[in-house]
Amino acid sequence: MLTEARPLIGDWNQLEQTTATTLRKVFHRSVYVRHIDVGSCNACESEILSLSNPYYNFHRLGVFFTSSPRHADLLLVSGVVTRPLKEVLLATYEAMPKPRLVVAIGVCALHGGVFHSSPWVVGTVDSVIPVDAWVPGCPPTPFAILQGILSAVQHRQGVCLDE
Amino acid sequence: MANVQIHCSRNEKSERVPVEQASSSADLVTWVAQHCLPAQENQLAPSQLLYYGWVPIPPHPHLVAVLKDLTTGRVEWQFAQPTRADKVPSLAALWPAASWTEREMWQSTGIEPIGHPDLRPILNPGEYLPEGMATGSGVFRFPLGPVRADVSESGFFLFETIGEQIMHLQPQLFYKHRGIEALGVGKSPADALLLAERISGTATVAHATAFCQAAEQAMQHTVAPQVIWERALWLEMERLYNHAHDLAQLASAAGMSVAQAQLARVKEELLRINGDLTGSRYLRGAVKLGADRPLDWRPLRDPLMGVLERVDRRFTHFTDLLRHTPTFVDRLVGTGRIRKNWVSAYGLVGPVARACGLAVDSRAEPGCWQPDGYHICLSTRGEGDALDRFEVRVLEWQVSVGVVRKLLARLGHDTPETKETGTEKQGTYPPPNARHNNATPPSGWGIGVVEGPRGRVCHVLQMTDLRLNDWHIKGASSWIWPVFGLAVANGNIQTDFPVIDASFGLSYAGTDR
Ligand code: SF4
Repeated sequence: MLTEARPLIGDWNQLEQTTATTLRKVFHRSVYVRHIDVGSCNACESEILSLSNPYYNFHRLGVFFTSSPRHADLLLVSGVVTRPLKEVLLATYEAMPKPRLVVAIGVCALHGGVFHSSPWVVGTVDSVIPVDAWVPGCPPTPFAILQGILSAVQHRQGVCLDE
Repeated sequence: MANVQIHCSRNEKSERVPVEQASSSADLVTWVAQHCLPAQENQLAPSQLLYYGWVPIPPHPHLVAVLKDLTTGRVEWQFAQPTRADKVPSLAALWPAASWTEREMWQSTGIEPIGHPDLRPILNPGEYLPEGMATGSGVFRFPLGPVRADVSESGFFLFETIGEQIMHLQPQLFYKHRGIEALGVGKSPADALLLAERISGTATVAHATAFCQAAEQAMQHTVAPQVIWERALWLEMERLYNHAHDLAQLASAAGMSVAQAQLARVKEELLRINGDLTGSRYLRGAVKLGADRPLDWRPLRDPLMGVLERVDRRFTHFTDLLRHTPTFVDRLVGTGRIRKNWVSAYGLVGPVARACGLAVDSRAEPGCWQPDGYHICLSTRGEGDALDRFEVRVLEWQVSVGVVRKLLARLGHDTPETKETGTEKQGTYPPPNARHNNATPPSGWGIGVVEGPRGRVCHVLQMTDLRLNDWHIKGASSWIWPVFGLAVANGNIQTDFPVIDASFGLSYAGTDR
């Protein structure tokens, strides 16, 4: 499938296997991901988009992008939450069917990064909606984002078993 | 990254004088309009507007316009104090390109441009949804955004259609306005550089370089020529991955998934080599404020050359295939055409302007900050449709690859002269052949102009005691957005929108700031 050597970051093979097994268990190999930008600089989007390039190709793990939040299992949020996008973020989250997962991408989404003191910024992502996993980095690499998706799924799996 | 050493050689005795003082704000506005509108359509205007706006610095808040004369490269500043402190005559009434700038100025500072054709709030888009323009039977309003298909930035579009035909399109941006300019005020230039790098992530180097040029000029600090070459190299590396990305998106919009995947590979490989060289895939931290020496390029040269050869082969092969694919070309030809008279009326920049046949490129202009012997051949086409924007990007890719090779050859051979002397030796400034922006701005002001992947990026700032007093950012896309709406409504149907969107490849973050 891949014509080039895999990236030498972390243990890719193991991550791939764990992801595939976990996703099969929890979502039967079809996780639909919606992305929302709430005030990012576009580098985070660029990295999220890289997940679908032939090097990372997250489709083969059963993860897909979807255009509608109504079809989404997981929401990737990037950027600081700006004033006009707060309502939009809430509306998108509300439109998702339960159970729903949220992964915050980048330091902007984590704690506001360099923009945290701006009067145009209302706060971090978890001040608006509950977050299942955080992926630090500015921007985080696609590999880290994939790991974030996996953590969120594993976390939720734990919750499911407890219930 | 944060502990940048700055050697500021401020010369207290030679206090610089403000350039020309326009007598009134009406004169200032007329002066700008006269210089920025060409005598004939589709010609280059005599001057470029680098910045126009309100400067709130006490005790004398004023209106400022910065123009660059394209034949001599001279940068001219004009200041004016309006007779009535809250009202100035509208520049947009004479020159539509200033429309968004004036709307923003009006909303953020309360200065009202009298006679503005379309004065509406712009900074809080959630509260003011645009009203429709078209009326009549069969007109359908179709809102799109701010959350749109796939992975994209947040922005809103109001389509007005009759059947499939798009009659009118209003883009509404500033959802992501983070107030970066205001955040930077009061910060040290080293801290503000971190903000500058995060204005638009895919134009990190362009904004960082423009900011550093402006800050260094304000501090009267000259950097070594090798550093200028190195910045030029990073700029080209950024252009390369952006063009690969834009063309991949265009291929995907036209349903060419193989080309899309292959061009996405090109982008990924470029990002990886960037990451290997600088520690950041988006070249964050690569441009350093007041840097006095570049990296030691001798061991880095060959790995970069190797990657460049490989991606260049793949890029050329697949863009060639695309060019010979009738379904792809059919989809692009005549789509999203820009009319000739919009080019100067909106002061277009970057690959979009070059696709309309306008030879505008900051890298090739006199007085621009560029290394000696670094020639850019302008790549222009003439139709202004999506196909020409595709072709221009392919041509620019080739130019950029050539420039990177040339710069690498120089950087890889030259031992950085300042290497042994260390950072303490300030006596080596200014280096003999560093070329600088040749106009002297007023005291404490600095201006940086850079050709980013989407066009001219300009930073204007004012500093006292190594703190920013005032900072203005003009990204390339902010010139192009108003024309985007017009081009989409220029005889296209709804399904053309993704193709036009991808062919413009505009940045939301860089416009919203
Ligand atoms: S985390 Fe960094 S890369 Fe991501 S949006 Fe924020 S500034 Fe941009």
